[in-house]
Amino acid sequence: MKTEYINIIKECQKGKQAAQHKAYEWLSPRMYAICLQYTKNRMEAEDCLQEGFIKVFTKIDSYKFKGSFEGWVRRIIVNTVIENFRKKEAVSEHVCIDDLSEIDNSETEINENELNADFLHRLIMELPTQYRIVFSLYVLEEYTHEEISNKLNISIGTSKSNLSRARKWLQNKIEQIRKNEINRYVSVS
Amino acid sequence: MSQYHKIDKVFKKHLANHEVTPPEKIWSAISSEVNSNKNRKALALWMPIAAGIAILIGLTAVLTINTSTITIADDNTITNSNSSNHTNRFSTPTHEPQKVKNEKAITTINKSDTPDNSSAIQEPHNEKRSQLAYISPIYSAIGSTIVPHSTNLHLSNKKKAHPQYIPIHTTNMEVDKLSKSSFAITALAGPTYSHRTTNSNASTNEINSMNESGLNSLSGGLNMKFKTRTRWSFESGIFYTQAGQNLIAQTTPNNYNYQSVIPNGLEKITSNITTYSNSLGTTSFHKPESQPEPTIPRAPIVGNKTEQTEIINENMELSQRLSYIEIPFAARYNIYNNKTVVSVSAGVCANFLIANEANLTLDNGQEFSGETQGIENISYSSKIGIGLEYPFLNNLSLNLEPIFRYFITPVNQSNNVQFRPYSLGVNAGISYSF
Repeated sequence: MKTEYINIIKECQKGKQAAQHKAYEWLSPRMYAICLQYTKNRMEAEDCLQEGFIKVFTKIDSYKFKGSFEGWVRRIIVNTVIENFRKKEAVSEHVCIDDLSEIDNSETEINENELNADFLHRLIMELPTQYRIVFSLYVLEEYTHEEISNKLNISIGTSKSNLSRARKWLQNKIEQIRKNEINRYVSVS
Repeated sequence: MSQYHKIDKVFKKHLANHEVTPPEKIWSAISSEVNSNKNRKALALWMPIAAGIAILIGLTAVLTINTSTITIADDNTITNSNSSNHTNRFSTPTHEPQKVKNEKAITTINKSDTPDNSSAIQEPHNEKRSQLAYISPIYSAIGSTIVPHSTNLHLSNKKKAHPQYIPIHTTNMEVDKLSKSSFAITALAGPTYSHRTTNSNASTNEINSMNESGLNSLSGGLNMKFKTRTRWSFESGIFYTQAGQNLIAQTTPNNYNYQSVIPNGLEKITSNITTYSNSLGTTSFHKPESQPEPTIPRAPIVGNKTEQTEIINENMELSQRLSYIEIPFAARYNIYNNKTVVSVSAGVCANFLIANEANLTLDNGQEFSGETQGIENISYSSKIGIGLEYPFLNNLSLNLEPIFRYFITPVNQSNNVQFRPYSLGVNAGISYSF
């Protein structure tokens, strides 16, 4: 970790507001993106971000400079948004798939050159909340299914099923968008 | 690599470090919450002490109230009468004091009224009043309303109530629950218009409407608030408020006929007091030593009869002002809980009388000051308000609240007319949260 960041953390542990603000500016954009991935809307995401950073600065004395500070903050934020989800959403063992499009099992090559973060972020936000959380915890936070089942209080089988369906839906969505782009190109030409 | 691994890889690559700039308002809320937590434990100890001090101040004000004392000096008579009614009013077969209609003794003298419309003079019933030199007109109001004096209640906490999160996987075994409750102190002040309602036992024939109007004043104080984790908060504090009324009336001569109404052969008491009765009660005025004798001609008493003489009707303005220390107890609910907080509040207040002033001004320029008798030392009121709170610094907020207050108990001790002030005001102030 950079010396500058170490100093910021130490000043935060002394309760210096200026250091807290610097730490917030350093980490909040990334943490806010995480909150958006795990919540239903921006208002919930803002609440979770605020709640999470309050915990960070209140418990910052417990950070002993072992491991990444960003990782330490990220865990607090993820725990906060999951707690928010558990309180506000009815976690279901049988997630409704009515809102999912027809699952296409075709093998589609994904051209990474066509994708960017904003596009993928908007895409993942279209998933139902529970699918999105399971997918994010597994893919982005690298939790195991056992850990996910403990966090969300669901069975391991449900966790695996949610992940599978989320993957297929995202893949199918990318394929649809690509087909639409091709059709538009053909019709113009 | 399976396609699933591919899609995982794609999302992880692009979203692992994805950033979205959050709204600026979030940092303000975080900073105020984090830094207020430091002082909360220490200050929580002082809150009950501060509340106790506020109550002690109020009680001390009650104990040191100097209830009215009447000093007696020179006569001070203002007599006006209409010649046509003069004989009816003054002449009685035995020249004994006119009998008071006791609890229903009411004579209303309205500026627009002609003397013909006035009812007979009535002598006050209680002995204390009978010792006074002059029996003033006894006024009563018909259904006039008293405006309770509004005091200020205010929101102070700018923070939203957030749910309590306990991380599922804590690094330690501790359960570290963050307290979301908070405290706030608000300093408030604002203009207020007060008037009153009255419930009278007098018959309608005896009661005429009076030119009693409301009172403008300023009120202010300190509000202490405890905000729970929910949208509810509870408040108390200490405030300075005023209630009362203004009156414009026309005197009649009979009301200032002093000799004929002294009962039981008492000597005419040399007094510099003029009394005046209305819906709030009887006001006793002190005539300053330097005040010249009134130049209004009076009806001389000859034997048992009063000679008629030309009497000039005199207009007068009376201001009755009661000052209170108010201790409120209220609950507040945030109906809109964003950066700007909109809330509604309701509560009850204990009002301790600390000052009782009455000022009488006559057309001829004479002025008298005094006090209204029979005012309760402690009265109780209710209040409701709508609050607006806008944070502008870390722990500071601007507050604005219109508030309506109504006295539950009458402020006077009269059995005839129960005077309940009400008031409407707007208070503004600054609050500090911790």
